[in-house]
Amino acid sequence: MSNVILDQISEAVQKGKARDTKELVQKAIAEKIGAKDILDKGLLAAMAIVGKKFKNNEVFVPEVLISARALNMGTAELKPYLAAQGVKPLGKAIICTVKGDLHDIGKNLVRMMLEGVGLEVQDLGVDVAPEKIVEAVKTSDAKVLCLSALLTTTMGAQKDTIDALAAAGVRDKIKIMVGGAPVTEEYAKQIGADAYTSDAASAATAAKLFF
Amino acid sequence: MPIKPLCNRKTFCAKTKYNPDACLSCVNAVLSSSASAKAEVLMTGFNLKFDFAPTVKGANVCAVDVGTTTVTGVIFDAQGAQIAKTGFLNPQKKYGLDVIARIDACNNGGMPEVRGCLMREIDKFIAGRNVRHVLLSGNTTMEHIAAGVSPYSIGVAPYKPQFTEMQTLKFSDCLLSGEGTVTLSPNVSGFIGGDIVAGIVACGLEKTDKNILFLDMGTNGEIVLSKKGKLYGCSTAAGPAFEGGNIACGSHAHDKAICNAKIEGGRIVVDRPDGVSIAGGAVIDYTAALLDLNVIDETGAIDDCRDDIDIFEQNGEPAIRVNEKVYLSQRDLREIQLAKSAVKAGIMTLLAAAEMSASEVDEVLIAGGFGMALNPKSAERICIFPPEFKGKTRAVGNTSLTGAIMCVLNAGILKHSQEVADAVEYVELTNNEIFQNFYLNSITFE
Ligand code: B12
Repeated sequence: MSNVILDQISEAVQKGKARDTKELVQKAIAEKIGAKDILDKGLLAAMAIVGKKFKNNEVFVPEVLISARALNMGTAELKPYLAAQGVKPLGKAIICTVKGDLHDIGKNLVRMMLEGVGLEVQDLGVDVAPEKIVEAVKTSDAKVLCLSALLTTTMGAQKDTIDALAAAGVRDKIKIMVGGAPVTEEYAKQIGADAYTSDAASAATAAKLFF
Repeated sequence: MPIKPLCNRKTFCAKTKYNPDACLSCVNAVLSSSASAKAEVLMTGFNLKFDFAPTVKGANVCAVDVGTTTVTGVIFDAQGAQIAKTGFLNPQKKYGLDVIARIDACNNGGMPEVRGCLMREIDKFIAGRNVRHVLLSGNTTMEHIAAGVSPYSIGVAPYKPQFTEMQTLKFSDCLLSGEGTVTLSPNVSGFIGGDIVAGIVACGLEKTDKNILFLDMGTNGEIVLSKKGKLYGCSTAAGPAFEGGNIACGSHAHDKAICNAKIEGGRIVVDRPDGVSIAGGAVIDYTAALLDLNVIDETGAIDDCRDDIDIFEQNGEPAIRVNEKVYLSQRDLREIQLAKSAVKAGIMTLLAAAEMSASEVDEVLIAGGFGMALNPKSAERICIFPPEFKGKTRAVGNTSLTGAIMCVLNAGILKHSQEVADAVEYVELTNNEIFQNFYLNSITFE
């Protein structure tokens, strides 16, 4: 019985049906299914499938966006129950687009995928200066920092940010992931980042390993 | 004595045997000046007549279009007769294909060489030809590099150039030998350059009583909308996919590339079955055909297996075989989706800024080589343009060079080009919610 509802939730999220997702989550709660199960086996299971398809280019940006919206509707509904049942989020990540760059579609997809594996994400927005990132890292309990750059001319700001974190003595407090179309594995290594992935779904998989 | 255009190939290099040099100079700059001192310029899509009143008297003048990819130039004598022309690949290509890559190369100490390699070629062209005035029309980055001004600030937010006004420099300021003046066509912003301003002048967008949309679909995707002479402009950053870049088997149009495709008798046929690569225009044709045959669905996913279409796996993704050597992968289709929705969203955002609907647009002018490579039907099928543009599109060729020629042959037009640049209302797409919404809503093929 319970499996059916969880499958239905997963289906609704995959198809991006936000209202159905919300109603099904309510129904599952009413049927006394554990909040963690609803989250893991319904909502997040769906995002894992969507993420895999996105990675293979089987689905594209719009599909991920509508699935993410459904996911958010579902988690919003579930939140009080998760808290009441003492389910803690997996952990926290910080994300932003680096200084000089205002592209944010890729960054937003990474955020959604991170949320899709159960992480709480603090989004600092776009064109974020190293000092601001240092401040956020100092004051947050996040374990992962994701830096996005879409311009060849702003990739350097990823390095500047890492250097600023080192200078402020907080580099070792956090794992740093870098990405964006012009960024490569090699460049990531060169500037001392901890991880690089070429797409948002793999980014979430990689981030999870740090928790 | 109007002279016939040298080349007026509608299908741009596809049907005829491709000759890169011919294509580069396929700009048909032909001038005849008569006793009545009228200039007549015949270019692809144009037959312009205006007073012959060159910027310098008693010497030769030169108009150059400095494109990121190709450079074209024409020299006229004191009587207005065309005495030389050139077309070559921008030697800066070795520093990267788009302007950001060039800026990056300049940032890393490469400025003298990035600049030098280009200016040396222009110098070779004018050398020994008694040229006293060069009008250089290029995008904002190209003009900064030509002037020896660091383009650094164009590459980072807020993407502001060091200058936008028309620049008047000495030959020696621009590494050219001899005595003379170089004028840089005025820019509007970091990503709407003098090439676009020259294009506006060439098309008369500032004085039309119609509603005209002007598109330059290179990697930057500049768009100008003229609402009965009131000008709005933006830059959409479509990327290189339309030029065959970022496409697995893609290339520019050359004599071994597949340059167009269509459905015939229920099957897709290409112009060069043994082509070794696929050019941007043909990628669009092919995508349109695949949509018509339901091989890809409206979300862009490769969907159906028809017996006559070979779908195979390539790096874990489906790919569609075009011929033995050439295929289109699922990722390629995604690249096209990102590029075409950028253009569509740019158009829709400009229309919104001008408080107009797509149906009010009377004409759509597509500048650059791509305009000629683009089959309007295919463009319509993959939804680059709103459906209301159907039947209104026209290729206008190298409008940057056309405008530059007008400016050197008529000093008044040159002066006027600054007013044109000042009149363009720049519409910023960055942080623009209207653009963002249109962009995300235009990614599919619906
Ligand atoms: C949409 C777009 C815009 C929009 C931005 C809208 C927005 N809010 O983001 C607008 C029109 C405003 C724009 C403007 C500009 N753009 Co723009 N833009 C694009 C375009 C078409 C698509 C980018 C995109 O969203 N891709 C889709 C997302 C999903 O992919 P992604 O960002 O790469 O992200 C994926 C991965 O990289 C990864 N990822 C991303 N971030 C991170 C972070 C981490 C930590 C990890 C692990 C992974 C990861 O996961 C994502 C999902 O899988 C590209 C060209 C193209 N076809 O790709 C140009 C492009 C990126 N732009 C470019 C340029 C130059 C500009 C401008 C500077 C100038 C211009 N007008 O041309 C301006 C600058 C303003 C600005 N916003 O910064 C160039 C960059 C060239 C270069 N060599 O660097 C490109 C490549 C186009 C080109 N060749 O000219 N642009």
